[in-house]
Amino acid sequence: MTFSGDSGTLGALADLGEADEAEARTPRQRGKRFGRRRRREIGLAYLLILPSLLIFGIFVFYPFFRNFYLGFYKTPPFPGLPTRYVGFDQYSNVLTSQDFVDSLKTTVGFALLTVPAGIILGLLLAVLANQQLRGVGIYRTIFSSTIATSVAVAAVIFGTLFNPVVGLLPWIGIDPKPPILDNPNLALFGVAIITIWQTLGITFILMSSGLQSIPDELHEAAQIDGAGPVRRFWRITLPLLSPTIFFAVVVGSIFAFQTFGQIDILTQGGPIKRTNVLTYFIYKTLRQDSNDGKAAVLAIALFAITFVLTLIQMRVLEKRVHYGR
Amino acid sequence: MTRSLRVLAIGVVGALALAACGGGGSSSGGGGSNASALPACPLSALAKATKPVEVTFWHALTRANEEVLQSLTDRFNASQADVKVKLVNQIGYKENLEKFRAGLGGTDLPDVIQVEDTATQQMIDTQAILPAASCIKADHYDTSDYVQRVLDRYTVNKVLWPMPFNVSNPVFFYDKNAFRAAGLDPEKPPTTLDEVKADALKIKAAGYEAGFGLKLDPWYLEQWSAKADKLYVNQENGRKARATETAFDNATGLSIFSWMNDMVKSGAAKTNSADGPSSYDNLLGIRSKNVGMTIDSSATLGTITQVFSQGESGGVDLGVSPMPGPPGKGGVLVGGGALYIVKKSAPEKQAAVWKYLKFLDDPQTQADFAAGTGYVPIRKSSVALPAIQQLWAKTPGYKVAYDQLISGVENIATQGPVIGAYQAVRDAVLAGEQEMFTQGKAPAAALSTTANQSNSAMQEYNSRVNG
Repeated sequence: MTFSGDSGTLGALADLGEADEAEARTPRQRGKRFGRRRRREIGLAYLLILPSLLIFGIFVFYPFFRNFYLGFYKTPPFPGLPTRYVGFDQYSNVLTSQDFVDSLKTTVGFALLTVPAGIILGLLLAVLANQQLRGVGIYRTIFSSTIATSVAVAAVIFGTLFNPVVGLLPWIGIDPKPPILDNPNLALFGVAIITIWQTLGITFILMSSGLQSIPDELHEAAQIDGAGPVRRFWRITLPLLSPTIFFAVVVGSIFAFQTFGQIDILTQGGPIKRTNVLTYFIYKTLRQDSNDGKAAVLAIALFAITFVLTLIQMRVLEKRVHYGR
Repeated sequence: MTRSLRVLAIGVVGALALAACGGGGSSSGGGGSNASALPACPLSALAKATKPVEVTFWHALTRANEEVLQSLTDRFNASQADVKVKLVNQIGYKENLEKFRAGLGGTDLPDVIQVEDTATQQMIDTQAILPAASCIKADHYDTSDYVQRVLDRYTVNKVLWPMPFNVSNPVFFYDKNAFRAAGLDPEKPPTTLDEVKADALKIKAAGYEAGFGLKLDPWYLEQWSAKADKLYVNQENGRKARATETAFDNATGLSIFSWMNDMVKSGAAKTNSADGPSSYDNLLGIRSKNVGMTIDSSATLGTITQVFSQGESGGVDLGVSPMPGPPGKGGVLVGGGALYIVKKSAPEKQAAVWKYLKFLDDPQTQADFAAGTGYVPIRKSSVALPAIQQLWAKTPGYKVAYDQLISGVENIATQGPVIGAYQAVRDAVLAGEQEMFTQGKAPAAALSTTANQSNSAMQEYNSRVNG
């Protein structure tokens, strides 16, 4: 280290560098300088994280705690009227209500409908497009094209396809009564199909990049040992792709739990609340019922679920990532 | 590093908690809706103010209706130099109310706002409204020429809250040719629900997909309850005190639910959603000869007449008649929108708005507005004016909507319900109907579920207003 231990940022930086060297010194030497250095180190650390902490504080932490706190209050339908402190009562009432349980079931059902199907389809397309063929790039472009479609556009396109009067599906004979999106038993499937289609692009890209990171030598070695394409897929591709698949499952689930656009455009949570997923429930509670307190509780519940999903991802993924080369 | 982060995080949380506690206080509530304690209407403020006083009007009219409103407003602005009205289109009633609510917590508010008839209780609960009754009293304004039911619709606890403006109600649409094909008298449309069912089955038997296009609009349960002279919610339809429970879970309600169920199950009726792209399928069904009749708002008359007259007639001979309903001496409810004066505006702006509202409700303005939009004129003297006479001669359907409004008794049943959680009750009614149609639920069970869901929504709303 060439800097002397002066005050100021540069000095602190220098000290930070010396801190590494300190590890190599004897305990006695270290003990002598430890207190002062440690303090400087902490000061610098604060300084460095301050900007991001400020931004996170204003836009993430403050709203989050404020939201959590709002859940303790029974709020009036219009601002300016009295609010009443009800503490955890609101949390327990809302989270045990039939509406919430139904909405949670719908949301989980929606995730189960969309995530596995989306990943299987994405993987299938990725495996197909991973062949070294002339013109395969065109297919890759087509398969990944839905990534460039907005939810609103996808919803309108499918809404038209499903329409009982002018739609394509009724025209080819798929014409349930009442029509798909007005049908309590089918509406969730209808919205799920749109979501699968819409997320297919990103899943395809994820899976393709996963496939390309698998070393060719493995396949070649297996081929020499006499393994056929199906066997190689199950024994080599799939295990090595597992981190990617797992990542897609977790991220896909988080997205599924945050689905809003297609519901708002096509079904508004209906019919009979059969597509009333958590995000839409929150939106409706907030906008139609003007019930800020209840909406805050629901938002915290949604946060808790996505938080757990993220934790799982971090824990499991850390152990499972395959560093191919 | 981890420890220092944690220390800092605790500090931040502590500060936030303190800040949050500071913001927790709130103003005292309990604004009375009592006739004796009306806030004052600052009429004299306009004379003292520097002219012109500019006021902003958030409205929810679109297309042709918006153009008519704009031209009437231009006429008002040109007719005098004291007040200048600026229109802001908020696209729909829902959006308008949402934006108003957001504005109540900040500063972005209009001076006058157009709100749907269902939101009366909510507007009262904002405590941000100057009742029209205040200005009527201060200005000695004569309301005897108004259609009584229109005034009644917006009167809660003897106080008229908004100025009524655009009024519509449901009418019966039918294809006379479908009636002829089914061997029915085209000049004798059904007047009761039972007749609708009998005629619908005959039309279906004549080769139509269904006889009746049933739009799944919870509005009709409210309308049919009023027509049967039955209350929709307790506390005198919510006009004496805040309604706490529904009143439609009775014999009339059951007969309506059973009728709808029979209609759908027998194939006599074909349903369509009241929201989204299929909300006009019942009317378009008449045009494409899938169904022979339907019920819809009189506000659609203009568009429907226009669409049906484009190109070939398609063999449709459109008839319009009063809405059939259950037996009873009641009448149709007033639907549509009304205009609220915002109390948070400066006094001269409130007075300026009052002047503008008097213009909009003037018999001549109302006649021109009705002729241009298809809404029902709310002044009795408007009807004699040439604009309305010409309109009625050309499209007799418009007269049906007006005549409905002045027939039947005037009482709390035909005043209609006032509910804080109006939309939540409508959602419950729609869900109940759909459970009956698609899940095989019995009408009585569906009705009682609907009532229970509505009650809890109403009580939830009330508990939040009462603090």
